[in-house]
Amino acid sequence: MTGRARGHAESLQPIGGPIPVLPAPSPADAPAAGYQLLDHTADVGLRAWGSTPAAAFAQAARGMFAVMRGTELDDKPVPEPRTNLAIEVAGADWPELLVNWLAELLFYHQAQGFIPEGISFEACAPPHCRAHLMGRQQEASEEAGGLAIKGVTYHQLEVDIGEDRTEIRVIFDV
Amino acid sequence: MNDEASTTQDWRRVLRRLDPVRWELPVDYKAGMRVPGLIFADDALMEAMATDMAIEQVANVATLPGIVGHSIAMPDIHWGYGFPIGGVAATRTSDGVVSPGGVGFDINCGVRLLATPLDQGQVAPRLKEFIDQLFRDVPAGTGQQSDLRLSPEDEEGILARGAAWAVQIGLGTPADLEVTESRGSLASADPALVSERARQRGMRQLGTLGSGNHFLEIQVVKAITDEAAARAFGLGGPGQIVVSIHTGSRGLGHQVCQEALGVMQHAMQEYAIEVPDRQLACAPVGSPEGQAYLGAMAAAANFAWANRQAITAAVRNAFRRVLGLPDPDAAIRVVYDVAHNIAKIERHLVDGQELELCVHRKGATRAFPPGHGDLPDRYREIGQPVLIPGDMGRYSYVCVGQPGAMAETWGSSCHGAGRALSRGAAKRSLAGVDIAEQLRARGVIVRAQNRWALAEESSEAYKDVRTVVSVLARAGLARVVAELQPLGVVKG
Repeated sequence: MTGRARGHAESLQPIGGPIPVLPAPSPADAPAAGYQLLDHTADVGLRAWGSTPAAAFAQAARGMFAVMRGTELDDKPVPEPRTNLAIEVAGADWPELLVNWLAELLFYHQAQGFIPEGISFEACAPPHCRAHLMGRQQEASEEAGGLAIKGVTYHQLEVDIGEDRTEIRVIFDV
Repeated sequence: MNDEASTTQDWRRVLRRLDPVRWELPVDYKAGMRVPGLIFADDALMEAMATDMAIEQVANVATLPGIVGHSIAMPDIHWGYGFPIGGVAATRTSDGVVSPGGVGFDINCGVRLLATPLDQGQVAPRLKEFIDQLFRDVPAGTGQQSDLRLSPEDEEGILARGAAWAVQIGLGTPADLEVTESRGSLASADPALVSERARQRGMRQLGTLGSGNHFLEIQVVKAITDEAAARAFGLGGPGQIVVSIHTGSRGLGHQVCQEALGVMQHAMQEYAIEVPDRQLACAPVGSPEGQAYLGAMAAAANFAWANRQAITAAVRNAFRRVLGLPDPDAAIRVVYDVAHNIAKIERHLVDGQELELCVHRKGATRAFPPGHGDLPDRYREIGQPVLIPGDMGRYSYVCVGQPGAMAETWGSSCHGAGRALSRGAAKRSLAGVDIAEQLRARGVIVRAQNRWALAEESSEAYKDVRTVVSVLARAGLARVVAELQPLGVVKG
């Protein structure tokens, strides 16, 4: 998968089709960001990567929502009314920062129906991750076709920070 | 993802076979193990569990401070996160730890079995209508909420008193509580320890099933293998209609676990604890962090018992409305309700000495034998009903706890069939197959929110639960009482 412009969510493919990246990448960033779902006996694993930690964190978020919704997030313009969400999480190290970042998005989705459409990071390195999210509220009639994620685990968690590439692996309990 | 060296490990070289259904994982297998592992499996199940990370996880659990006896694996174990699913570990409360990963996100996920006075012939003509009614009355799938409106007093009642709260507001009878593990209510619960976020995420999901492997199943008793126990459990004989409910504490419990995991990451540093997998993060049972987790976990467990009680009320109501069953509260009896993701403070004999232990059951249920003091009067002479769902296409089992469980597994048994295929593999192998149609051909009606989740939960994705219960019986942990077959299934 290395260097592919588009993540490929294998087991979701029949519903979702090819999966574009989030946020809309700059041309230089495009070949190096994406995500992929991984097999795990009882749960769902996710690999995500990007040229920077922030890009990889955004891809991990995108993959998590693809699992939960059973489909790709829309690339259509965000409909009005838009919802803005400022998120700030702490983490003493990269694994904790990643788990807290994803767990925060999971909370806002499951408690308040927030679906992100765009993410911009202000900071993304231990001990803090600060981001502004633009998105929308899930409509009451909207049926999600995916799996409810129960939690973000530390099991086999990896955040590998390279000079121009960050690789993430995370397993969700579903 | 099977790229860890240990997944290609030849486990038969590492494990010491004790007898046809017991394997020991030697204490020197991995640095840091404090006790050996004990795995219950026959040859076929061993072959299945040796292909993923489950046995490595048995070794990891053996490193928990204060663990006594063995790190135990039930015959249905499969690769989980932190603990293997099907893992049991007891730690001394005096100097051992409690690990939220040993309970899991779905705190007090469990199974409840209801026995009805109806037989298959009375239900079959209206089965489809009945399943449709259940599908409407018991919301299933992702993000579903119930119509219940809860006051702050209700919330406190649910978290403090669990199923007893539900019965008090009319969602059942006191007799239901008699045959619910811990009477459906852990007194150690402290609602104040359940965060506002956990309440926001899950409180309104009371009365819902959720997605994944959760289900509501209408089943028929196919065979009785232990007449006396079956009679005590209210199982009359082949043809009787029963109902299984499998769900837990929904988003509320998930959030309690997620928050506790964060707290434990820091507690480990404070108490200088090291574990091989951060998902096993833990703190001493008696520490402020350990006690805060146990108080919140107990409140989430109570939520789960209230949830299964609320769903019981919906099921009884559907029997009355669709099938005309009068007085369903009395006519439909709870056989039992077991928790299979929980940590319990219990007293057990350790090397001849009675000790207070924190028993983690991650995908494992209690299986108390005849005569155990915690059993309801109704089952004191017979033993505890052990509810072991299989998969939605084949069969499930009702077993009864045996003395071997107290001697070897802290009174525990397995909780299901265990997965054989990953979710992705199940979907790939079933591409193009209409699971609902396939089940219909076998005489099973299924209503589900989404077809992909259905493929992940198909028979093919699970081990044969019949082999699993046969290992339990041969090992003396539990004895088979009855076989149940599915007729109608509601899935998320």
